[in-house]
Amino acid sequence: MIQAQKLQKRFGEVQAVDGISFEIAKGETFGLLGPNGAGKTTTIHMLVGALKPDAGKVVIDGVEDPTHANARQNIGMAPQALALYENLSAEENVSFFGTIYGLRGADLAQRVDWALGFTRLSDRRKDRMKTFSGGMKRRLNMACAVVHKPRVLFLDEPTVGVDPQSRNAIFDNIEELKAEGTTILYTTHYMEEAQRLCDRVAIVDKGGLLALDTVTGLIDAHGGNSLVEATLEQAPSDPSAFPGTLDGLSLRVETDHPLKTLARITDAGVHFTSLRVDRPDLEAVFLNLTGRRLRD
Amino acid sequence: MHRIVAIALKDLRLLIRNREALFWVLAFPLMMAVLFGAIFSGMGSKARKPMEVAIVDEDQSEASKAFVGRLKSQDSVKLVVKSREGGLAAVRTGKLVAYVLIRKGYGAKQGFMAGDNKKLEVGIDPSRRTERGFLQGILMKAVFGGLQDRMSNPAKTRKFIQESVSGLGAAGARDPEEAKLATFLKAFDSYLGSVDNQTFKGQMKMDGPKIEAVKYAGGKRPRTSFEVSFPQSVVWGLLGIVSSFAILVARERTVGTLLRLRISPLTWTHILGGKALASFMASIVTMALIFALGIVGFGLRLGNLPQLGLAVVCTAVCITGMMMLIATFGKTEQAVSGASWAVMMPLAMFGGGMIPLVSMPSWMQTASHFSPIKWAVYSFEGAIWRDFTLAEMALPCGLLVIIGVATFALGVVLLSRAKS
Repeated sequence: MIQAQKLQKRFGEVQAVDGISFEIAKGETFGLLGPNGAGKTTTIHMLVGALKPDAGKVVIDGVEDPTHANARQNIGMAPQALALYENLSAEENVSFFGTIYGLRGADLAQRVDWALGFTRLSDRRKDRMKTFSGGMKRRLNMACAVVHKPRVLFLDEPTVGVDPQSRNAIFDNIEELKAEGTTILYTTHYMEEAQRLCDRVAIVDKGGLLALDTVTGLIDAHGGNSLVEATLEQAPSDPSAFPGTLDGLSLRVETDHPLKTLARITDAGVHFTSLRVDRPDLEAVFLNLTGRRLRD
Repeated sequence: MHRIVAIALKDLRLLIRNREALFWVLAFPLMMAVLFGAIFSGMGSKARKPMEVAIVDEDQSEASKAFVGRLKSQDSVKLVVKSREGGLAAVRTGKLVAYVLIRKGYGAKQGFMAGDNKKLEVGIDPSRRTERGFLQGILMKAVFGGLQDRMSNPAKTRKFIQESVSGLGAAGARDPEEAKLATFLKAFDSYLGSVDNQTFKGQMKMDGPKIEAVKYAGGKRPRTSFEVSFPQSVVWGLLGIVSSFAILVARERTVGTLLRLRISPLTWTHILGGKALASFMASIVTMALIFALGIVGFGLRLGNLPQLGLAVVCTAVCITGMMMLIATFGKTEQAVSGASWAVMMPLAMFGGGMIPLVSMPSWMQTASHFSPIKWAVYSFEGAIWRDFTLAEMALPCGLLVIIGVATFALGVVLLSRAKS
């Protein structure tokens, strides 16, 4: 559905995007995960045709020019900035964006109702956007992006600065759209979001693509070992037979197969008073790939 | 077209909901129109208040009193009797426009004018340059009034002539010039002796030429000062429109809605066309509203309605083009706002939006030809009270359209470059 081939973009001395390539299948939710300044927004802007790449190619739904009207009709985007009119009501904002995508009359009214209901803003539809909370503005940003029912949706950091309630509402929205078959490209620097929502994740940093796989695949490949920490009921008779390090009754084991390790310990007749397994996550993947944390 | 209209309606809605912008677009121009209209009309009786002048009569002769009487009889001047110091102080402090001092000896030397005018002293407030000319005229009338009085009384004049002839010395001792003057005076004396007292009464007027306002072909001229101030003040509303819409374009960029519009199926033509349509419609509605209020509340005439419509449309084209160009003068709302006023204020100032063109020095009047504001005001006046023909409307209207199209094209090119 989306193809990015060796995209490059430079702003003055800064190489914002440096040869990024990926493909996104129809109905897939694809995450671009990276810290601020990694090149995620620049990549999205090239994909939607707002920026012309210095090199490389973009194909959206078989159309090679993302500025072509046919490609644009099928694209929806919720920009990172709240790209809304603060002196228009929620309904007027959504209706305006529906109109510029060619919706008219009853069809427009029906889609506006749906978008406002979808983002849980129906009861505030007549209120001006400037009276909304940060989370409501984010949801309205999303409503304006989906009112014309796009087949491809670009969500650029859609949860920045929102309250947990609105964040969950946005997650629900994305999962619903995903269930309906919408192809979604989602950028974030929150690894929990990518882990929860994305079928595959591309990790980007300093304009380059570091790794691309499913979340499990990335963790398996780059996450490192799981950490098992346990407190034993009684000291084992033969500590040397145990994996990891034993300090009194406290056991600490790093392993790439935590379940197998636990099975081996319990098979030896040892019982735990407490047990904790820390599996590696995308944060660990990023740390291992770059030597830095995502939020550094 | 539907999409262009959608963008235009959205922008108009945003303008209407922006109270600050509405103030500059509608309320401020109306205030200016009413204020300047009232000032130009002189606020009723105050405008017709005569010039207040101090009179200091140190001579107290029959001739000086007659001179003061002739001054008093003129309704364009009000005399305030003062001492020499009081008169000077009143002018110095700006309480009175001028003082007229009649020095001692004025009435002692009797001439044709019935007084020695070298004994008259006039001082005027340096800031009242306009009144200086008026006062000079008033004084000349009073001075020549003395001659009129003399001629109205031939017996008295003959006595003065005979005294003058005897003052020239004995007939044999005169030089050639004195001899010629004596011959003339004797002939004049002889003539005055042959007429009766009624000959010059009511016939010898010293009023000078009578000045009347020029009547135009259709007999039209501004009926009230509001017919001058409303066309002039409409300009302020148009400046508000230029600024408001240029800021809206900048805001689309800074807020990110322009990105949203650009990645939609809209073309650049749709986006800029919508903005232009909104500015054009707002300009027309603003002008229509201000003129309508002028008609309803301040006696403004419609003049030639089709030509006024033409002037309004051409001005709207010009304003739309200028808005589009000024929108490129900065990347942020603050920058565009500053640029719009920095550009438009001088244009308004030179174009007669602040000071009527006729009150400007000649170099400013020449400079005004380069301001589209001048041509806008000129076209409104042409339609409302100057009684322009369609051919005469062609110059201001044509210039407005040319400026509008040129600035629009330049603005579109610059905005397109900024986009890419």
